[in-house]
Amino acid sequence: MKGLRALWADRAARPAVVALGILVGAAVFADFLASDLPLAVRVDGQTHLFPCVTRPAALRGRSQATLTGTEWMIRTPIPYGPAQTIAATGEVRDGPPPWGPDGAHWLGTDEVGRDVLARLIHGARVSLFIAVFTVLIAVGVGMLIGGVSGYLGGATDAVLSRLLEVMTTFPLVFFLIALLSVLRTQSLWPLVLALGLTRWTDVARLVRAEVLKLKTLDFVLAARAMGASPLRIVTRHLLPNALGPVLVTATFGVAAAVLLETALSFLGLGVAPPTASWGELLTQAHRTLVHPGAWWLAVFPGVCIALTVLSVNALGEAVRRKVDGGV
Amino acid sequence: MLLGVEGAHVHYRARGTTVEAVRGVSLTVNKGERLGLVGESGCGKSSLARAMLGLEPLAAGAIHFDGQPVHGAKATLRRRLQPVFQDAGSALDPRMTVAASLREPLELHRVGTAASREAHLDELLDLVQLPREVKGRLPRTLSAGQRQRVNLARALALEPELLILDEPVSALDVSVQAQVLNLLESIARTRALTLVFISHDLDVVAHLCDSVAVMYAGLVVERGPASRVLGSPLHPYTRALCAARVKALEGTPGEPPSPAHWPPGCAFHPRCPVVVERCRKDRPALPEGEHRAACFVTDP
Repeated sequence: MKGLRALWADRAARPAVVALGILVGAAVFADFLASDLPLAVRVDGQTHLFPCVTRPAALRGRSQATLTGTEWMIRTPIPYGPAQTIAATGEVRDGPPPWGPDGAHWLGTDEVGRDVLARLIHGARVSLFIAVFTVLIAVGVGMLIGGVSGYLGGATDAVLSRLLEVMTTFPLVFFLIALLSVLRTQSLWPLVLALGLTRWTDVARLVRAEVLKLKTLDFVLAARAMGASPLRIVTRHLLPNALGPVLVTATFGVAAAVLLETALSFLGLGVAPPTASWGELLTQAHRTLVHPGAWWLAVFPGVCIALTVLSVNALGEAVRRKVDGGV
Repeated sequence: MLLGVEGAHVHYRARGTTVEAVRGVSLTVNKGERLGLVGESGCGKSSLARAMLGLEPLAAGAIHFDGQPVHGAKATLRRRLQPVFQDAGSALDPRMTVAASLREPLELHRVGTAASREAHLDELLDLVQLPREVKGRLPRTLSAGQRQRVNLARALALEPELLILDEPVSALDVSVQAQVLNLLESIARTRALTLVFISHDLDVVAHLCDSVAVMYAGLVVERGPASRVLGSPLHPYTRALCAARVKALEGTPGEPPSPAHWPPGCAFHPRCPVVVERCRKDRPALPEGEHRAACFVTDP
């Protein structure tokens, strides 16, 4: 990837690339890092590879304690699942959870004994998935509407521009609250679609402005003179040239989407429990403020969110430097 | 007759007002002719050029290429007339390599196979005297002269019969200008191209063109063979232009008028040294003939 190598060459962006690499890595490999099931196990004369991903029914109810002589098991680095409560682990300690960070639970547990690190890692998957797909949808819709609006102009542009203005002036959070109250399901897609379909306006406005600027340039006239169709001109000449600024906005958009997901989860409109997301973890922390001193519940998700937003913004700045300096 | 312009009007609408950039131009260009279209900035030369390419809609009139209207023309007609623009930088897609820019017209018109196109690219680069190494380069890494050669190569890729060149060398250094002009002349000769060459530089036009049309305020005010228009101009404006080859519009007060408010009557009358009363009210027409001017005073 030429783009990634160019970003790596930007020293100022390097810490951000490393931090995001770790977060994205944790999100992608969440099942291998934290699971109630092992990476590999030999039990009842059968070897299971990666049951933490495949989750075979044969392993239900088995634990390390039930293994006999020739049977063995390799646990994930964090041997807890994101939804595994004290009832499932059977842990016994002095006093009820939440328990603070110690050797068993590196970042502590919540009030039902779920491992905070395991929930953070699986929450990264959910939060980053929502953020990335929100931005992909927003960029797709924004480029289409902005490109068509800018290139065709006239009545089409007038209608689309008014739509854009209405969307921009709409109080977004209230709109999402109303929408998500109706669409509430276990799936992440309603949330992703709702966020994506409300966040395309920045991209659309940007692409429209770029296209308006680009379409008067002589290379567009030259393409028209050689008989290129409007579709070809938009897709081959206008949108590729508008991509730089869009990339910058899209990067910042990821940070904004992470924060918006957090806010919606905090309001109870995010992912449905017991699915973990960073916003949902913070909500949990807020609810358990009745446990004074349980700082680990709020601090670690907060650090993850802050780190992601800071890194993504630093990356956005780096992309902007690249784009501005490039052409 | 290869290109026929009949009473062409080009209007732009800006903030509620209509700007008449071209207001009734008629001229014909014959096969093999090299027409120089001269005039100052804002006289409508470029608008007329874009209209000739079918890229600018006409408010009135018609433009025909080989008997067919250029507006709404199919790609098969389009490829027979190709433009070269003034700003060599913006005429190339900044994200496309030289090879990609040159390949685009070939792909669009399905000329040859993928393999034969590469050979075709080499031929085009040889034709405009560019080294083949430039194929992988982006426009911004090329010099202005090299970029204009790439533009010329792209325009020639489809083997057009007519080239419409809008001030193709005026943004180049004088030494580079001469190279590009000589190249253009030799290509035009070997390929028997018809040219519409737009310029404000009369020396360049005298060098390259065999006929001239002088534009002022959106109208053709003089038309004829290059040697006669530039050697013994009829219209007071052309005379001033020819005198200006030495110095900027010597003895002609004022500035070219704004397309938003053309003067009534003969548009040149506020600056004309030989103005008479009639010039302020009536607009002189361009008469028939080999060498003619739209002027009441000058009698050929």
